[in-house]
Amino acid sequence: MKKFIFKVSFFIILLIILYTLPFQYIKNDLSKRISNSETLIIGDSHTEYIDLPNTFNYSVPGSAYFTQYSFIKEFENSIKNKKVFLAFNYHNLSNLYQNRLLNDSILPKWKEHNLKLVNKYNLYNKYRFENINENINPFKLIDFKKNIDDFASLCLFNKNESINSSTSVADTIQIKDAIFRHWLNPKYVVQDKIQRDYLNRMIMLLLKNGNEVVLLKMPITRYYFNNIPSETKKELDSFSYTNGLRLLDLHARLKLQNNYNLFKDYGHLNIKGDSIVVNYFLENELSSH
Amino acid sequence: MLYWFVTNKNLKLQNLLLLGASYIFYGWWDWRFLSLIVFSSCVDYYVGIALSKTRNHNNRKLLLLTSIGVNIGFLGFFKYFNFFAESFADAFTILGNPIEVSRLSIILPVGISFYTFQTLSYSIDVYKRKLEPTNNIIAFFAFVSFFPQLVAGPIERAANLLPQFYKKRNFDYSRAVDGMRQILWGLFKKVVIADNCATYANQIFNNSDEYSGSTLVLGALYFTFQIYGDFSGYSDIAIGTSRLFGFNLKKNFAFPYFSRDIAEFWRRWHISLSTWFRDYLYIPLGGSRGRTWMKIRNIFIIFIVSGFWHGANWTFVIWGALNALYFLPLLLLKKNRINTNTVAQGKSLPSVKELFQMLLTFSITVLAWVFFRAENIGHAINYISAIFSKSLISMPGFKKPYLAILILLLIMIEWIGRENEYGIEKFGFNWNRPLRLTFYYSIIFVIFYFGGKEQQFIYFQF
Repeated sequence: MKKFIFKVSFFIILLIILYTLPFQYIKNDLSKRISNSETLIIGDSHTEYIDLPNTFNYSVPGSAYFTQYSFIKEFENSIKNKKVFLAFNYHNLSNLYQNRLLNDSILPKWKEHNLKLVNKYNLYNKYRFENINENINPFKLIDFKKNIDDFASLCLFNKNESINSSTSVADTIQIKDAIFRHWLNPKYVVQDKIQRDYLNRMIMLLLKNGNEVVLLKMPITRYYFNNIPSETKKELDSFSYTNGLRLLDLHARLKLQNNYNLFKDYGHLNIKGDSIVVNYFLENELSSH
Repeated sequence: MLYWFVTNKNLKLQNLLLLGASYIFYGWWDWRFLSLIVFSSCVDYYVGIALSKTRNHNNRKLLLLTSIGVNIGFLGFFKYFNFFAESFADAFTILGNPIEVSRLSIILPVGISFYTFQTLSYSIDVYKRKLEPTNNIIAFFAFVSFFPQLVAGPIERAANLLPQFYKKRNFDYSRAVDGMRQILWGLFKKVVIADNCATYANQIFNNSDEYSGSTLVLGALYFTFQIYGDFSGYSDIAIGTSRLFGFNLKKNFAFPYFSRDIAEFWRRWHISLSTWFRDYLYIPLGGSRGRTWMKIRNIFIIFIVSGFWHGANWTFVIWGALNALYFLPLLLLKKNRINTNTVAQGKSLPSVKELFQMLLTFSITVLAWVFFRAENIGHAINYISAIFSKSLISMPGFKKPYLAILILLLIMIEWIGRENEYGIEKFGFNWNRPLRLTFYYSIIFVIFYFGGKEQQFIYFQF
């Protein structure tokens, strides 16, 4: 019996070691990379391809602020006294996020993807959201499949590279789709409060740790801009002022809105558009350059 | 720990611990139904004692009928009441006199079909004087409710399991390791194969009108592997768990999809139920002796009752009847016992003839499973008709390469281990330890990574 218990214990301990050690190693490595970076970009697909020296870019396409908050919370000790660019675009203030959480049919699997991102850097599900109810966020202490996927993606994260495409926006139908998706979808039944709540939490956490927070507004096409509800425009423009934060308005500064050949769609820059943004950062925002 | 370290010196205490654990396990689902299992156990325990005290034939018969009446009564009420009431009403409707019957909202107590048959076998064996009745009430109650196999079998015979409660059990290292290995393989079959197949089988069967013939074939195949993985996986887990407690349960599956004819299939599929029906129904009816019509009648009775045991639905009856039809030619031509050994024994690959026989048996089994899975007979007929349509020759939907690979892995490992008790019993025994350990860790990885969406064990509903 003792031999059996010893062997089973050994088997389980080895399993736990095999399971946790590589994950912890890669996580520590990631943590070091964040610590060693002077600048951080936190965003979504709009900032995904901004590749700058000495900068750690955490931009996950389609991510909501609550997932970005969980990243900042998890690496809180590494994100101190840095310059943090926080993607802050009009679509971030649309109602799509909370409504997608409430109604999975709006964009199937989006909810699952984002909720998984919340605990991406944990072997057990550490973070939960007080204002997301149990139906939206069913609690599962350990999700092994997710952890294994996360582990694989962390390995890829270290290798880090995908390249933006060089395609240009084809026509306004594409842009109209985005306008519908962001502002006109009749399935949106609630006003998004979660998104704003986590934006505030992120800012408070970053400021608490001595970071300089810069809200980053990316260029978008004129056609899309003209169709954004005016109250959202007002809300976005007044937010930085009321919170005493700097707004880096690349839409206004770079004036790319009429150059449709620089955009892949309504507001995602292609490789050419990206290079303009990168140059701007190199010349104006990064202290060491 | 409590079992092996605290109660190991006192057999009564050890049995009491098992009984308590079994009742907690069963009561966890719904404590109210514990009363049923306790009542059944009481009746059969006292019937057994009473049988040992009387020699009067009529009294003995009366005692046996009491046991059968109580057990089958419970089973009939909880499992079949609504079915009979509805069928009765349907019959009147067909005859032009529709009547209203009230449906009872009854929950089927989990595992009732299993423990009822287990406890019935005790009464029948004692009645037939094949078994000495027990006066050890704790051992008997623990035998009826033994938690590893309580809710979905294997259906144990009192002659095999009950004496194991009388003897002091010693921890056996190799048996425990073997048990762990069997649990691991059972988990693979349930969590990886069955649960993944269930997702697609459910989608295809639930929307069968929308899919092509080729997709429906794939749906039937998914269900074929789902039911095998689900049920044989549960049996492996139950047998493996019992081994950890020092008990040996009977084998319930012996690689049935490698059978060369339907008779062999039924010797390898749900063995504990098939042998139960053989011993307590088929043989008392006369078995394969007597005139031809008697043989045919007996075969149909046993298969239809077996189908009906699975559930209160005509689909199960048809499934049973279909298997009887498959079986009948073999019996009449006296070819039902030609494939009693393992296929391609001692060889790596089967002969072309054996391969053809296996494929044919597998195909007709898949066809029969359509009735087993369908919602009703109309659904099954439509499903099969749609299979044999023009769309059969088209690319199917729901092609899942990862699942195909996992199923192939299952088939490959089970083929290699087909002469053993379960798939990985001796798999990689000549490998060195690190390699063997890597193999077990790989299975664990596959279970965690490819584990499908949690699905209830199919046989819990029976």
